[in-house]
Amino acid sequence: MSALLEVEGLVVRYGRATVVHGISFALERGGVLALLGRNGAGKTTTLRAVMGLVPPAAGRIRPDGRDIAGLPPSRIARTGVGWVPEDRRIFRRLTVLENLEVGRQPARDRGNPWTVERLFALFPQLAERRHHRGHELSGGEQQMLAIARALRGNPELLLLDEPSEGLAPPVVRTLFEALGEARAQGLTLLLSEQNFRFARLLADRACILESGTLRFSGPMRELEERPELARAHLAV
Amino acid sequence: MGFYLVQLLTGLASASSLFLVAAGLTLVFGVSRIVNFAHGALYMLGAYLAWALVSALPHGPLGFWGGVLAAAAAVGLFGALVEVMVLRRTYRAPELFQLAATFGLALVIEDLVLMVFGPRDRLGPPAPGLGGAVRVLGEPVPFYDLFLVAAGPAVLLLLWLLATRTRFGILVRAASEDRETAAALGVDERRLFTAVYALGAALAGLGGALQLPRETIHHGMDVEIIAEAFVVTVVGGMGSIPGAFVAAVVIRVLQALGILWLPRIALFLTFLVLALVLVVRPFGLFGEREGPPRPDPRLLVPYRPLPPAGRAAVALLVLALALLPRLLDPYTLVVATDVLIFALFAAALHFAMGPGGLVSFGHAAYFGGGAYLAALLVRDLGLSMLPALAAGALGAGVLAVVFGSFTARLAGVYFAMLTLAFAQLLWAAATQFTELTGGHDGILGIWPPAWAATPESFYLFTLALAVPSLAVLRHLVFTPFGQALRGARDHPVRLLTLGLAPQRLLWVAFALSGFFSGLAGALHAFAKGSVFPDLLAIPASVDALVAVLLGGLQTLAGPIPGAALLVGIEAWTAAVPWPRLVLGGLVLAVAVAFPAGIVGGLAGLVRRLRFGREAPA
Ligand SMILES: Nc1ncnc2c1ncn2[C@@H]1O[C@H](COP(=O)(O)OP(=O)(O)OP(=O)(O)O)[C@@H](O)[C@H]1O
Ligand SMILES: [Mg+2]
Repeated sequence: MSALLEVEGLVVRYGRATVVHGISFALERGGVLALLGRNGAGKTTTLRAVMGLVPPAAGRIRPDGRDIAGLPPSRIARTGVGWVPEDRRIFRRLTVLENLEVGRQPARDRGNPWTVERLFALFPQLAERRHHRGHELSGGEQQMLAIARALRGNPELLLLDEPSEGLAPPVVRTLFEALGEARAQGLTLLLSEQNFRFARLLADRACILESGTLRFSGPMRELEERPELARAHLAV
Repeated sequence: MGFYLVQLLTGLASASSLFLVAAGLTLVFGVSRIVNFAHGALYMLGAYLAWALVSALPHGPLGFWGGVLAAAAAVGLFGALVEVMVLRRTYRAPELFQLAATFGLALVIEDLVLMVFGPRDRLGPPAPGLGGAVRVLGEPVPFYDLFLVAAGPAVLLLLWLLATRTRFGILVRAASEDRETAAALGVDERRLFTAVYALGAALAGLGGALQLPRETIHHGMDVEIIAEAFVVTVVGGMGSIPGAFVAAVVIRVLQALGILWLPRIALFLTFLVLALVLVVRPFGLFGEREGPPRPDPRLLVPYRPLPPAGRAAVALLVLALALLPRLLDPYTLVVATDVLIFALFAAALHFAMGPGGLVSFGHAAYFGGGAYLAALLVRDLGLSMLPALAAGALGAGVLAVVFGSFTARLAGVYFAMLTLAFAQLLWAAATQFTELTGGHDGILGIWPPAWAATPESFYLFTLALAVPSLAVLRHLVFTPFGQALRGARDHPVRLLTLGLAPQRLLWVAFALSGFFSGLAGALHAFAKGSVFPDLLAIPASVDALVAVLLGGLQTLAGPIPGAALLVGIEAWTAAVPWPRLVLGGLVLAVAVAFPAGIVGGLAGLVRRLRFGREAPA
């Protein structure tokens, strides 16, 4: 299997504070990697660096073997990276359909592009609210829309920043099922989570981040066999 | 009755062009957060181009409308070119630099228009088929006015269709709301910015072109419209096109009716509407509350007190300045006095902008306010210079307290705009209340007493006032007050939890800044022996902003060399054939090449040379 994303020695600074201290991980095509860690561990920062939203101070980021560190976010998005931000960042004044339009990108030559119809089949609740504006949606609907909007660009790699945060269990279930379906289509996921239960169900590999350094990196199975790690570094 | 109706129609007709200009301005601001000072110049360019094209093309509807539309398209193309060649290079600099760049651009366009079209005013032909007048309730109304009344809403409708029915429009709205997320979804910012700037420029150009049958095309058109277009965008809510329409209509109709009631009120009404709206709705009629402005990390560089060697250097410099009268001829001494006064003004503005983070577009209010107050007291109460100076400074300080109480709740660009509006209010007062202020003729005969009457003695007197004032402004930054002030700028919430009132700290800083600006203004009145409304006008505010930017916003000492440089440049360009072209070009070059300001840039260079690779943050 070839690596779809390779991060090597990533360092990120905000002003003088170093927030991510040279972490490395790789993600295989079709795999799901969960970045775990407490508040402020550096999960969001890592994802933002991959997306090009913060410039890495050092290190390489290679989706598909190409180094993208330093490219503007729009170019990175166009290489096939989708972005589901932490606080969803739905365009509040745009309707659901318009939000999806912003996410649209010319279909890469892949068998089955994500059309609006297919996205509405994935999230039927959104179909009913297609003409509603972003600020009229519930938290769960906003999260669905954030995922649908990113899928509309037909990404190969989807970055998800704490998708289950603050959502009721039935909504989390819907998201879980939808992401499972997207995965079945060959999508690769990089997920940041504090919710270990959600991450465990979805991911096959895990990294534990603490204060910007990796404390664990390996198959999810191994993490499940070492509950002391989870206890030490995660809020379980 | 008919008379009022006609006046209403005139107001609506003139609202249309204003709306077009403001729509372009608000569109550009919404997406790229650039306050485009060049928009008035683009409007004027559209008018001149339309005049040239319509004159050159064959007479008839096709020639006329073809010329008008081609002029708008040409201005749009020009806008795209300017965005790609100049503005794009300033996006990474602090926001203020973009402002300086657009101001430089406005100057360049003004001189280019003068160069290409000559100094004469131009009169356009009537619009074919729309000449003549119709009678409305017995009163004549130009047919073309009726056309314009309809043109405004028609453009609004077209823009609405563009915004809601096209992918371009949806992307524009998305980017106005959240640029970062739009970019992370693959929206190419660079292309979007270029397209939006071109569209905004084309709208301004169309606004100018449509004035062709209505008014004389002249070189003051840009200045006439820009302040009002700013007001309209702010009243409507920055970024809101329907808001711009409503605001343009409200303001122009009020003016058209107000002029019947009290002719002098018309100029004020605009700014009164602005002040009222912002007090009631701080984000404009249709604007949405914005998050607090992100402090620019480049402004968060800590200020450093002078090391002993630096103090010694400053002492030597002051000594050298005191010896200057022995070296310089009287004319050069007068320029040196101007530099000192202007440096004090720029330092006062910097105190509000740098440590306080309060970007004021209207500091001329306090400079000119101090000057006028001093002049009035001398003329009408026979006060002598020293008490008049004190009164000018205090009066400007009080003025800043009063205006500051309105602006305190605002942030970022809304704050900047309201400060601009207050300055314009004073400017309008100075031009309108001629009995008191002499209008455009100003107040003359404000001379210093005999002991300060020669250029040498007045220079030394100015030096004796400016040096301690500058020292106080600098010293304040390092006091606990100064530290709390920076806290109020960077972390207002944290300050609140410490039991300090960030708003009040900023207010005090603004008042202090007003006080020293007023002192500089009063000194200026005595240096020139006169005051004119120019002292309160936009260019006076912009001059101070440019001096601060030249010096570098994060450099405490910057305003002084910045002011010297600007006075020097202006003295020099006064002698070149196209002064605004040269000055504007220089401002543009600095904005593009030295985003840390000339002094900041040089200081950074020196630091790098001395400490090797340790680049400034
Ligand atoms: N823009 C910023 N400027 C300065 N520091 C920041 C900035 N954003 C984040 N940080 C700091 O970087 C560290 C890592 O933050 P990050 O948001 O990456 O953590 P996280 O793991 O995503 O946390 P959470 O679970 O709360 O989302 C934190 O200490 C945070 O305070
Ligand atoms: Mg996070």
